[in-house]
Amino acid sequence: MIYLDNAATTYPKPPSVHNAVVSALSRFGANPGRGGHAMSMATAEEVYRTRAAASDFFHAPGPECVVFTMNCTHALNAVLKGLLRPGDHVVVSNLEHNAVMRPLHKLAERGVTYTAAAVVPGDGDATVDAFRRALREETRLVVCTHVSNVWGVRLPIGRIAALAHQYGIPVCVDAAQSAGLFPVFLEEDGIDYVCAAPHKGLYAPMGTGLLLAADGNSLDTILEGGTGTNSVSLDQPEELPERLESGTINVPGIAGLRAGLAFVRDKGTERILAHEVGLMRTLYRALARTNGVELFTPEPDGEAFAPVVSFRVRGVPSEETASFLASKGIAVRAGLHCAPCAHRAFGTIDSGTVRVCPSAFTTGRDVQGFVEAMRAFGRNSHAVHKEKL
Amino acid sequence: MGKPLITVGSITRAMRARDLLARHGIDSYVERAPHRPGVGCGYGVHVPAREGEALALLRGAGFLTDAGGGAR
Repeated sequence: MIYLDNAATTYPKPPSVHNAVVSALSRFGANPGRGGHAMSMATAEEVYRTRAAASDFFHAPGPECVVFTMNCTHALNAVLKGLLRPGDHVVVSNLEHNAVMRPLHKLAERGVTYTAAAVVPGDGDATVDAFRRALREETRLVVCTHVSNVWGVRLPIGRIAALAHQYGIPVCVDAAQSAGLFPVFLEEDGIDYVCAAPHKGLYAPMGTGLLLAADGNSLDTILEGGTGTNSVSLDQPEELPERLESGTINVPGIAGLRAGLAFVRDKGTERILAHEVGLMRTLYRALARTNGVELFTPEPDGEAFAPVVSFRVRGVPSEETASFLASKGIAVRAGLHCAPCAHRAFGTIDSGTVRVCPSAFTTGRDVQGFVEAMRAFGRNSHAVHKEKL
Repeated sequence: MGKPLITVGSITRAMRARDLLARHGIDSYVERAPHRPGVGCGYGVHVPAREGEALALLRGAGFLTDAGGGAR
């Protein structure tokens, strides 16, 4: 299989991640933060070390700022529903994933409004100005994706955070597509909340999510339950991060996350990014020469455009293109990628697109295989198109 | 009588307390705290030596919410 659906989740995972997960099932089989026996304490230590590693990676103030969630969507819901009240206004970008838009749509029932700032791909000044124009007196939060999961467009999150902070407005960044490729630093970038999908660019197992919060106590809880402390009280304890982590956490997944963070740190995010950009430039240029293919962004450059490319073949439904590729053993994703806003912004809401995204494990041969398959598809679809005429 | 323990709350908090003390050259060990009537369960740090200093450090860093600190 040629796996190019890494924007959905990375595959394969590094052997160290496999080993960490399997090892955790036997070494860390007790519930952390509940008991005082040796295995419970050892498991708690593993979880704590992962928090510390994540805190270091994202330049958060400390391990207590690292909350483990089910996934990035859960983390975003925790911020949106934990912070916003009736009458509040939110500024988002026009490229947001449904992980942001659906909770906001739900919150609209309770009187929360939002404005989508139109991102100008490759133009940080114009993008920041768009966010500035979207702000209102009642704006209580700015939420934006760091990198579009459809188009690879990278937003200037540091500048957006600085703008929002001028007005005392906190910022939440959806780093699902960027963590592990581009720096996302709470302290240097001035970001209040970072939501990440470790199973993507951090090579962790699925079932892991991260919420990093400089001040997690600012969030009301959306999930209450057992935290392992102060059990007499029916009030959710105030201490972070446990306050935002009721119930049993995904210990094998968290152990895998620690291994994934180590993998990315050891390889180096710049090296991984350079590798992926190189591959996607080759792929992009080949697509640009392929009969019938429409591209919507400039080629990935590792600065304004991440190594994610979406395209469509003129007159061919995106699912059909993806199905053809799947028949050749090539895994991609077609459709709207849970991001209708992003498709609306680029005029592809009716057709959808085919999305291609590499990982640290993608090779030049994989790209060549994809290119050859697309050339064959281009020839076939041209022949069918001529026949239809 | 059990080991003297400075109760701090959650397991994460206890491990942070341990790390803070370690940065100041004071050894400590994270332990499950005895059940406290009216409060329930939690975790703390056992400080074999220089407990007084440890208490002061933890209080200064905001780890202790009452004057008593640990359970003895």
